[in-house]
Amino acid sequence: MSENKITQAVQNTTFQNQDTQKEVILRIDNLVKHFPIKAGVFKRIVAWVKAVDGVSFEVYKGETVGLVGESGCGKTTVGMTLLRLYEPTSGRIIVNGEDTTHYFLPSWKAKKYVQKTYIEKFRNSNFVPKDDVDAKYLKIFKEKGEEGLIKYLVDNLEEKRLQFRRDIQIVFQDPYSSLDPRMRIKNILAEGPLAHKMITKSQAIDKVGKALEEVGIHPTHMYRFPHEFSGGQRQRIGIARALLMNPKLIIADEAVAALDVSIRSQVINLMMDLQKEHNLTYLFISHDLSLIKYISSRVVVMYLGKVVETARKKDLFDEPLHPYTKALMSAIPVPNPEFKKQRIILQGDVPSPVNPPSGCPFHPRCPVAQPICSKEKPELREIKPEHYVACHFPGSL
Amino acid sequence: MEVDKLDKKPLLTVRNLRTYFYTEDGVVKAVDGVDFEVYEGETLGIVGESGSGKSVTSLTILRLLDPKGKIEEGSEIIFNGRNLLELNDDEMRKIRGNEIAMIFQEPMVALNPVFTIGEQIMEAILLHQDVDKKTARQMAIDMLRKVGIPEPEKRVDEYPHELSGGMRQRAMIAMALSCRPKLLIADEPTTALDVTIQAQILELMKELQREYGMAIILITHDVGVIAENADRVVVMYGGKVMETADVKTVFKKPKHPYTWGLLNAIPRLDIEQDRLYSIPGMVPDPLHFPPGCRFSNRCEFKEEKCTIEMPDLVQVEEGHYSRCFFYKKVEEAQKIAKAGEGA
Repeated sequence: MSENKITQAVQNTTFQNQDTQKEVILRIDNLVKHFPIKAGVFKRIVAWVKAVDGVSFEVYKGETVGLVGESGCGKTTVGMTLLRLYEPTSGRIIVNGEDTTHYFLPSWKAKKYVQKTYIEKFRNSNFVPKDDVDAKYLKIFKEKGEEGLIKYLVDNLEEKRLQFRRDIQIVFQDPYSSLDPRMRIKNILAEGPLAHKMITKSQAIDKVGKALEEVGIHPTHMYRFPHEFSGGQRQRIGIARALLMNPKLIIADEAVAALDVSIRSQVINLMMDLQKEHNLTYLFISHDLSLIKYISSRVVVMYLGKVVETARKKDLFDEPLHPYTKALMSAIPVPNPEFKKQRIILQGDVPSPVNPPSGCPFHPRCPVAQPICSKEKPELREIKPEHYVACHFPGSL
Repeated sequence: MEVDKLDKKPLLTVRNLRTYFYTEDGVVKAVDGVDFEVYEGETLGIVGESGSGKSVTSLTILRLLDPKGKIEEGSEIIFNGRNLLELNDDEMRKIRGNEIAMIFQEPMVALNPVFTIGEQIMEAILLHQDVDKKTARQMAIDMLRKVGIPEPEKRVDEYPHELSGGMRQRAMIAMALSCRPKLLIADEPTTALDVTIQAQILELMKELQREYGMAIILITHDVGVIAENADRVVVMYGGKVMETADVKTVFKKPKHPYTWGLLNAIPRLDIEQDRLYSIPGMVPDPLHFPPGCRFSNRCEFKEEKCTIEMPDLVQVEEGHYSRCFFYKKVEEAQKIAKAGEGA
């Protein structure tokens, strides 16, 4: 029940955002990813790990969305699922106003998905579209019929996949395992654009050289192997690889977590400079709230597979409304010995996503939990403009 | 906890400590002339990036180096009036885990997976204290309760894999403190943990320090952890101490370009930042340090002198030492930055 409410809340936002004319690059709509736990001789499924359990948020063009949470909160699974390195259990992933959820399914499954998600709804003549994607597809449905809509969504899947792979790029956490040790940098960087026929072989050296220059690596180093570079340089190469595809969205999953402090600020500054220059859009996944504060324009806070709070950066850091966000902020050591802060020390560990607590997932650790919190799941509500909180008692801590 | 140096005598004094590793590629001078003191009951923070020699320093104090590492002639580690480097292995074993205990970064690696938590804590107790097994077990349970592990009577018989990361680190602390050491060396004790768990563990360490009055050497790369937990700070870079002072002074009035750069390079929650400072270049390879000052190739304030001569660690103010010829330039830069912040 409450999941429907969440969906609705998010869909309402979408309409609002259209008013302010922000171009939505990515919209994740009630994304769910459950992993089976198998046991016994017959590998029966005995339980599910609810890694991502109904997550919705949007990313606008040119902004940086910070996705923050502790280990096990599902933030990386969100990234992997939206890249379709995992198939989502349910929910929609909308890129540039097109539903891409079925892109990586075999075509019969893709058709089934379209039937279930859209056509069954559209057959009901009283159906009112709740978001722009629904509206767009309903129009096609009305003009060209069922077959027309299926054709629109399922035809040329191969081409659509390629387009999707160009549009969304990722920079990984570990710069030591994300570059093939047996390939020269030039080949690592040119592989993508060549495969997508974005450049010809004769252009490769030129393009790769330019990309390397942009990330601060001397173009003559393109004939070297990954092991000849330091961690920071490898991360720069990873960024160059993403840039070469002219992506609409770059996912950076803990992209600077493995780097030393002095190198980290170099890479962060580089990413921000490139963003300004090329109007890039980032989804920045990190556990480090200070970093998220520095780099993001909007922040999504996750806990145990759910979004607990999302807001513009300033609103979130000036006035965190969810007790978890507040506790997380107070737990971060501030490099200023004279800074007096409110200390909130959470008791216990993050519960297992196999058996998440009933009601609000945060209630067993929440300092201000009330009886209702263990019974009823709080929905994500807009408390202030563009400030959503999933808590029965927002701002009470 | 303010430490008045005049009253307290150092519990541990490290003098001209040099630990070199003789590898096939050459001599790695991981720790190269380190001096510091730890006073009773205080927390000394050692901060530095990878390769700065902070972990090797701690392993050297406990003489836990791998065979390639050699502690050079002339190094001194005076603990409670005895030079640890002159002790034989038996005498050292009596100190290790008893008077000086250590907790490590990765509790899963540091705990033995085939013994229960209780057995591992009891091992330390039985080795150093004259008690029977039953008493030792009870002491282990009490210790587990003290570090905040729920149901210690049950947990004492569990194996490390049955505990979460935070609980494992608590068990490590229980083990380390079971013999009431005078000095606890904590090498990145919370790096592998989530921030909310990190806050729990650091709070626990503070409480236990207050109760037992032990001194702590807290080694970390996280200057935030240092700011909130240390009384005095040693900043290391390239196997040398670059700056040392009490915690407030280091953060407010850094007098070494590296410290200054480090403090300005981190994103912070307490202030608004337009742009992070980035220290140019890379962390140097310990086989090829630049000539002169080891930070000279990345330093914004360097002059010709810095590339020829290694500056000494000199006292620039009462209790504040810096290894820089031109520390006054850092003062200037800090003043400008402060003025900018105010405007």
